[in-house]
Amino acid sequence: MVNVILVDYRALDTLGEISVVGIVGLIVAALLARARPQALAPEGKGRRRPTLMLQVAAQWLLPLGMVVSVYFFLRGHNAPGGGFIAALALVSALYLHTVGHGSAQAEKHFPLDWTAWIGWGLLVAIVTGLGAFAFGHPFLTSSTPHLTLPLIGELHLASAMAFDTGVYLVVTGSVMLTLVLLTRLLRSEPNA
Amino acid sequence: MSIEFLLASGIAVLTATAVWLVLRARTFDVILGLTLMTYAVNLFLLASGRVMAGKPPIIRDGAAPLLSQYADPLPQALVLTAIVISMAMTALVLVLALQGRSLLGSDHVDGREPHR
Repeated sequence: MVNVILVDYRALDTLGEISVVGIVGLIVAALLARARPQALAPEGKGRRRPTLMLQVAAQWLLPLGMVVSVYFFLRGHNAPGGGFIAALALVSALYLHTVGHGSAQAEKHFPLDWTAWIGWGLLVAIVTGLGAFAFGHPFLTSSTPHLTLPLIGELHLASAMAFDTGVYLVVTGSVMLTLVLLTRLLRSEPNA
Repeated sequence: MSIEFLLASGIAVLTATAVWLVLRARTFDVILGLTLMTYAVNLFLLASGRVMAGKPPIIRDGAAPLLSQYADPLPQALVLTAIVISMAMTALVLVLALQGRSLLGSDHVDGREPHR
């Protein structure tokens, strides 16, 4: 119910919210691209490998976390879930992988441009809202076409899911951008 | 010990701690204080939608459409928005604090140690 309010009845508030999240991600990227903060790493510690338990857990929990994220996303319309928590579940899984395997390895596995995710997410959200114009309704009106698929049966799809996809992309992109840049800071410290 | 009393006490404790932390004027303490204040204000907004268990946000036939009969979902939705935005702003202010600490060399929000 709460998620329906967020992506359907009060979707314009959510559009503003994801804009803020996206802008903050970009500001953090801009701030960390210039001067690198110095006094970050603890003194006197060499680079330490992650413990074996953490490595194995990260390896197994990454695909599970991705599936959980997709599950939260798909059940979002009238049950607890939705774009925001799905994005944060995905970020948790990806960052656990980073912590368990080291950021160099993680960037090899996932060489994704998180800034582009922010842009695409906002584009998807706004285009979904504009799509309502095609049917003569105000901005961001959503509809629920009922489809009948051969094997699955009747499917109740809400066009708010396209808007939720935009939310998912923006939140994932922004939070991962912040985390990846902060991790890269720690890695570039000379005594880290 | 009713649930409203517990919720109100929790909000009070969080706010008091937050105000004390912010007044310490060290960058990390200010961030921590603002986070606690965020929790307190979000709980406060949530409480404005009536704290009750087991009442779905649906108006039933026969029952009057008053706030005592159903849970108001709108404050919960707006609190979600507030939580997400405050998470983003906390990330931003953390990065600013890091940059400030490295550029100014001081922990204090004024950029230099206060004169005694």
